Amino acid sequence: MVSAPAIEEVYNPTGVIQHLYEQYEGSDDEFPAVVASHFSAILFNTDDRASELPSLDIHHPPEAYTNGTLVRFRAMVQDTALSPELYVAKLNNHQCGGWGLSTSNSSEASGNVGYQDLQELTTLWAVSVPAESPWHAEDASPLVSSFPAHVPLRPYKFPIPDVPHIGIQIKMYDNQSSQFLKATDVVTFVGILSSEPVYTEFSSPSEAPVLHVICHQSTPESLPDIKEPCSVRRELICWISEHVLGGDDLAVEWLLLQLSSKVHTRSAAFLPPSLTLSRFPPPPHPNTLPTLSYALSELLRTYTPVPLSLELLNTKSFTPESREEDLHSGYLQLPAGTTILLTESALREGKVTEKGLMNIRAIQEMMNSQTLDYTFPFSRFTFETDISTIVLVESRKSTFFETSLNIPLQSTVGRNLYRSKEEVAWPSPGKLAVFRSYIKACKAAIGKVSVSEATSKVCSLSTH
Amino acid sequence: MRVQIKPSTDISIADGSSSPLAFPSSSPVKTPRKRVTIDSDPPVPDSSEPLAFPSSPAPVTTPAKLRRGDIRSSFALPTATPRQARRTYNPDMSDNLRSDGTRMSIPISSAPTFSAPALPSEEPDQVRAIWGTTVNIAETMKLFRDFLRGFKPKYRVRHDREQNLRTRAFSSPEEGEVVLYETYLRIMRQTGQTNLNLDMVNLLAYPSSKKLFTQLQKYPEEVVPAMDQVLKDLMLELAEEDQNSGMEDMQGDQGDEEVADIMAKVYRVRPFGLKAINMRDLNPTDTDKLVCIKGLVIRATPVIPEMKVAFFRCLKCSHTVQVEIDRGKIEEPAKCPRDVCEAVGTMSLVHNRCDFSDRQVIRLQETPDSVPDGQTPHTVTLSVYDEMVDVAKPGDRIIVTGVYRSVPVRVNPRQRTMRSLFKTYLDVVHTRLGADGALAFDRSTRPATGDRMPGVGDSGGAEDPEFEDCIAGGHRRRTRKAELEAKLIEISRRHDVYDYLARSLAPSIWGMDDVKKGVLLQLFGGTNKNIVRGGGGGGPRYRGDINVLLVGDPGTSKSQILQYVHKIAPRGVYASGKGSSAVGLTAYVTRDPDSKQLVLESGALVLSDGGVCCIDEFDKMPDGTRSVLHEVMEQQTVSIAKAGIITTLNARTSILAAANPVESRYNVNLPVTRNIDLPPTLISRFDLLYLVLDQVDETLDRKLAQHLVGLYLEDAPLTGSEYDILPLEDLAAYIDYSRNHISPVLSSEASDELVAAYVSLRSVGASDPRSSEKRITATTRQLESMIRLSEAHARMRFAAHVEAQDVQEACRLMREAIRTSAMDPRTGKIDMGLLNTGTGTGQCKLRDDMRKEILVILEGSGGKGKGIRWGDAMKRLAEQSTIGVDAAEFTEVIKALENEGLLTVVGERDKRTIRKVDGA
Repeated sequence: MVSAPAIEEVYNPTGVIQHLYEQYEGSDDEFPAVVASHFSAILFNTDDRASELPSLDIHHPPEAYTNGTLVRFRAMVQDTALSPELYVAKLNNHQCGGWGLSTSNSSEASGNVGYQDLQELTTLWAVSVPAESPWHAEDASPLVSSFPAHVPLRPYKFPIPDVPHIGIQIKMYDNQSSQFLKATDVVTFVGILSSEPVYTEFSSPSEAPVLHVICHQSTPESLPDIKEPCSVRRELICWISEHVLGGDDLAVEWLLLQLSSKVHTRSAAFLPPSLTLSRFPPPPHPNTLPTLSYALSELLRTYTPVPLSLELLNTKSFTPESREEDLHSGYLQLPAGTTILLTESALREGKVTEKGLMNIRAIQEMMNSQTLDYTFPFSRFTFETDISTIVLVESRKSTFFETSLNIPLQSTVGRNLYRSKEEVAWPSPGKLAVFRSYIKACKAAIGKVSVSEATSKVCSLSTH
Repeated sequence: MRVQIKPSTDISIADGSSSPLAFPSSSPVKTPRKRVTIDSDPPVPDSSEPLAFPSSPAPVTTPAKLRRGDIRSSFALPTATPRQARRTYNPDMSDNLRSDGTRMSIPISSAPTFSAPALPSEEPDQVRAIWGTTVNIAETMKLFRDFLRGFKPKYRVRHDREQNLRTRAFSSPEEGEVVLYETYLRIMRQTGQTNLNLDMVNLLAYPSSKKLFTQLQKYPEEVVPAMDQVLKDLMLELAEEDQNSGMEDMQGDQGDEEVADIMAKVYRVRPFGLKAINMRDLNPTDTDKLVCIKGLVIRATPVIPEMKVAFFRCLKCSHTVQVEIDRGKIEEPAKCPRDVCEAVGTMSLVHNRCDFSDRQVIRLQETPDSVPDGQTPHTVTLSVYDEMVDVAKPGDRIIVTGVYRSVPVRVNPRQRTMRSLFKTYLDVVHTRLGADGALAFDRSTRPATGDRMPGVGDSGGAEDPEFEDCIAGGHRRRTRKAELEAKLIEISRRHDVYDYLARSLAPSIWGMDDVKKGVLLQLFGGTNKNIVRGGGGGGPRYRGDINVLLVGDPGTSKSQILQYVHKIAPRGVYASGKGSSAVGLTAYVTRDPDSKQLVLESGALVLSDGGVCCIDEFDKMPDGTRSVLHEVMEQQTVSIAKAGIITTLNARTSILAAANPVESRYNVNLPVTRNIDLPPTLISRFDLLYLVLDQVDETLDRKLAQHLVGLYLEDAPLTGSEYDILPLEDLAAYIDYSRNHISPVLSSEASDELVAAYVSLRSVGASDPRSSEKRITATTRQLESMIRLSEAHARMRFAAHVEAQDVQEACRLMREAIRTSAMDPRTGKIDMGLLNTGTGTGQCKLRDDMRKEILVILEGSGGKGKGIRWGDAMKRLAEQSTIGVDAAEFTEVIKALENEGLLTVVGERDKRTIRKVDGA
């Protein structure tokens, strides 16, 4: 339901901007901030009208909308290295430029552009949030569209290879706030969709969808309120143990601790541990995902399984790399709070190439220090990650990785750890929601728990 | 902003009869008859008289002669030759002219610049101003002329003092009184250079030219050409002056020749010295202004010839037209401009009459230190022209001054409509190589003339081979440099400078003092030498680079040390042996995306030419790759034969490598050589080989744990330490300074010491034939290593000569590195008990005391070579001490002393005698 005053903003955003511009008397370079705050106030206020805007996602690709539609796009910032562009902020007869407004009358002679009217805009590349669990991607109403599947302009900019996604160029006019956007940030952009030629250093421009951002918001973290956390915990452990991990309560305890870990501080490096579940039985058929994977994707907001195989390691990139001045994504370029499940069941004998070694090293590095090196020509930039890693191995220890924890799984014989999603007895949707918020709350509580003097004494003693 | 020139008819020249500015050189009195006969500048490439084409009237005027790629001036500058200058000085010329008032506050009697012979205008004197501003070109030129003729270093010192900067004292009062730029101009004339590097802060410092600073920054398009013109005029004036005053090399024909030479040349002013800003902070408001940014060169194209002036000819009537480049584009005339002809589409380009200049496109990426957390680095495009081409190479950190440009982007190349989007780039006017925070590359590795920044002036040129600290911005350089220098010298005078620097290196790593010392000396490096007497082309080049290998247990912070070195080392490259192919470490052939040519891209080793290459996981490196290192580490070149390109690249780099022992952990039961499974050929190329062993020792562990926990407790590891340490930047500055200024030479005393040390090193291996395969044998390479290490040590002390103490420390380091002291000479195994006593501190102290006492007793026992009986020694010790002497302890101590080479034990069992070793 859109209340009356906001209708104008949603259906005729350019008109509203133009209107704002006419009333506006400050300098051009602060106007975008005015626009952003105007729209933010209407769209992101308490009743969250933004969620009522048409959304840009797999089921609603940019092609599904006409140019000039106001859409929202929940996305991960993939690359902030694109060159900023200059645009004409003031068109003839005191009209506002920017937000794609100028393209409508591009036929006018632009030979005598006033250089003093130029303003800078920031361009980013954003992709749909990788590894997002289906339950979290809202309104997944599978719109049976007549449109062909969206073909992203630069598929290599999405971390997980061969997964359908949306990847578009974002134009931010509000330079002040765009400075705070970092790679792998998850942001909801609200903007005007249009189709424009996108330039790269090396290729000729091609027409592609572009989002002219009006306002944006980092995804808010609402802290769920858990009643009787202990009992929820018990239930959760019971359920996982019973249906997912074949009755090993201890392993589930560890798993839960692993899932609720995140980076606490970096200066003193309290980083999430990494967990190996060893002695995990091999799958009945290769490439079968364990039930654990389905369970995690139901429980966690961002989760992705990585079925390690030599082919994957040797051919795919795990770290982002700048090639020809375009940042290609890598498997590990994931938003903070993502959990990855590495399975080694698909590994076979074979040669690990140089690339494979680099990939293994990157994963290990990420486990140890929660950092990921992005490769640029002549330099490497270290980016912070917050990714929780779980490794499933059949043997005593992982082939490649040294994890901080290694828990041998002691499942009751005969339990099937590889039930398909349909075979699992899922808890009721209400229960599931409670489980989800419990894990979320645990994560949020990190850093708020204080360790008493006595406890720390016990800790320090036990280490000696 | 579009800048135009508004020709004003309202001529404003102050009363010239009493010219307030004395130009002694060009005053007609002083040069009464002596007249330069050369006519003006080289022929103007105007359209009037092409060689083969019929002469056409020239409706399109292209009078700008000082054409330079970086400045796209939209107007023609007046040129002034001495003759015209003289004419305008003539009092009766500028009589009844009054000041315009609107833009001029200073009488512009330096009217020479007004005369514009190439202009169609018949008016002799014309006021030219930058449209829409208060800038008057004539005034600007006059100010700059004053500046060049009047600036003295003392102004700069005064300016810096006002800014509360510490200044360098002049060695003599005259030093501050030199007319700096006249000196530079003479140097330019004598060396035939055409570029003048102009420190813009000097403009600020000179009282009357303050205005110029802002003008230059805001309107480089107009002001720079004006300055070029003044420079040329002054060059001529100065030449003439010198000729008249009969300077040595300016007499007679020679002088005339010089003047003619100057006439034919194009002079360029290259301003620099602005405060470097982050490339993210470049704004549209900076368009067409002078800006200064720093960054890392990630790619440079080959030289591209760029058309500066296109020459068109009408196919019908052969009328010719020249079109100058404007904002990167040349507008092809649609039709013949001649009224009679007006044929459409007949203008065709005549290639060999066009003017071209060298151009190179560079992509500059932000340096890691300037990128905000979590963001990916930005890149900007630089266009460099003429002399600036090939100054910077990929991998260099540079600071560039240039004009920020934006050009409209065409939606579709086939359409003529422009979209309202703009691409930005920088036209570079000045490049400076350098790095901040980290060390600069080893300058001895760059050819003496090859890629130095061309031009005369106080930066980048021959005058000032120093890279100043540019974080602080250009205007503090001089004084900061002096300040820094004083500070560094002060540090070097500390008696504990060695320990001080060593503990400042990687302060977050506890202990490992000897490793740090070794790495420290590596950073200082020995001196590179060419020995002329050697055979072949000029003799071999002796490397001064010190290679260090760390072998040790996992988790002994080897990688941390590598990372640290990588951070401060010049042109440092960090490679993991595990993931490196031979290609990554050397070079590979690839196709350039721009030019589609096959190019050779250098790998880590070549990139770190003149720097330090850190290789982690050295043992896990494939053999094929490692074999490349053989050549690199001694010959310091990399030879490549790939895809039809056969070449040898320089890789004058120090290598710092880290490796794990064969079985990942050091096996105490195996000799050292078996633990380090690297071919002896490679091992011998390392100057220092460190065994970094992980020992279990409660006291040490406790200390280490405390240190680590301390790091975690507080954010800043620097403040947490109880020592005072040198911050990273200062350490880098210290090393950089000494590398560039200090090249110690061996003293005779030191060479004796070296010879002795080498002989003893050899003899250790030779004495027992069985042990030869079990220890790391000494070769002449070790002698060279000792020399290098001693040099580095002397360099660290800022000493001009290598002294005996340097050699001793070098030997000690080499011994300590492979734990010779703890090695059983017979088996080649390391005695862990010896490495560390494996006991608590109390016992350690006890042993220490005992050790001292034993030495005292030996000393007291008098008689040379006599020694003391084992039992006697024990007895005497017991007398002195309140606690009883443990026989086992005593044996241990004696064994340790024996291993250190301080004493020898002769005889068996009860008849054992302890002797002091002479000279030890």
